[in-house]
Amino acid sequence: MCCSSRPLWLSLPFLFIVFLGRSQENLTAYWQPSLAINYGVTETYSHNFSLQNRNYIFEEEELQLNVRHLDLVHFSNLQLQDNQSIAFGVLYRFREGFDDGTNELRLTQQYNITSKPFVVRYGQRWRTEQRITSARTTHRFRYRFSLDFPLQGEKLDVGEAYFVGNAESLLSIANGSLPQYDARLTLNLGWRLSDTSKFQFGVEYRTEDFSQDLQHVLFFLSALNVSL
Amino acid sequence: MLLKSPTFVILLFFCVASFGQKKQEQEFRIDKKELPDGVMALLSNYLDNAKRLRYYKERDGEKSSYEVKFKKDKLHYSIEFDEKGVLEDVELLIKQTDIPNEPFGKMTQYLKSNHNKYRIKKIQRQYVNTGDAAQTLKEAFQNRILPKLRYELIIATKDENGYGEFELTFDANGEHLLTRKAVKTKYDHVLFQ
Repeated sequence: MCCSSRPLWLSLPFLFIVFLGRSQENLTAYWQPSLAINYGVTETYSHNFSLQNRNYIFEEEELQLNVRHLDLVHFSNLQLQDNQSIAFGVLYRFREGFDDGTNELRLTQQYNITSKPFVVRYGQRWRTEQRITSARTTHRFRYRFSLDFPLQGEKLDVGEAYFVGNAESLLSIANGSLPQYDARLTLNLGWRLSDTSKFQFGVEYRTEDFSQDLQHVLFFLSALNVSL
Repeated sequence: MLLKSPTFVILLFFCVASFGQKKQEQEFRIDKKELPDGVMALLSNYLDNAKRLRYYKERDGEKSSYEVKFKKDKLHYSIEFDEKGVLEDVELLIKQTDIPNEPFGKMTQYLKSNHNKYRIKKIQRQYVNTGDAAQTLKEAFQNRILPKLRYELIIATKDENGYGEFELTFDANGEHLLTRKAVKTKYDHVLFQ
């Protein structure tokens, strides 16, 4: 197996962190592990269940390890064509008891389309969300462009590594608040562990509310994905 | 305690990954020097101005094969060799309009009668080596329409079993030769991330 031609990909997340660490006063960093299970219900309809939690690891210029919240997520996905799907999702965020935030119910509607001219697969995803808390309902609109490809050939075989990169723009609107614009950039490295499981880790950089009160948020991500 | 858990997960993952590599069909990129002797010499006349030159090895149990892929004069070539470096075939990515009307009509008829709904994703013209490797390469790079060539189609389908992907081979007259089910690549790990 050859992997000598890919050292650049392995170093990208680290270069990214060094770049970010240079001058971020408003920087918050989290570690967010997740576990997801996917399975087909019919030939065109499938379920996704996931559990994820978010932990503060850097806030107010201090290193720490404190749980922020726990998310339980479900998506019902319907394949429209071989490369297109729609999905409806429900998320419940348990935050009360972990920090001083409130719990949240989130409803998501999603449309996704992919294309794969050669080795790289491109994906475009549109989402609308209703984030419901006891204080307000926030409507969020998201667009994400993704690309993913195997790192050791043209096919992702068992035991091989892959790369997933995402760029996403978000607009949040709520009664009594000014619109909030966010942007996210995510780089992930993953491995196909078996026919049904993948493990990936990566970093995500978010600039939040960049038109009013700019915040920089850095995520260290790890995920185990089971697809039955 | 929590900080120790990622190390455990990573160790566990490497154990599982190394188990997983056994008994699996595997295709991966290799260096030029890992190709069997004679492959590069055979191709040397055709690689001037070649772009995106890549070398791959495929292992399926005891059997290995090699592939050289590149783009030349706006055309995508894929040249396959057996484990001893003997040329197997040359494949060239083409468009629907590059197939003469009569054979394409027959192919369409076959697709319509065997699949409720289909979409052609990719078409390749295939020059199979029947003994003279140099001649096969010459014919392929001259892009000649010959009675012995074949067409390979990748199609996405929808039928009572849901969405699928198939690889079909037709002869130069559009007669169906072979159908193989292609393995669909999963997208869950990107879709809901």
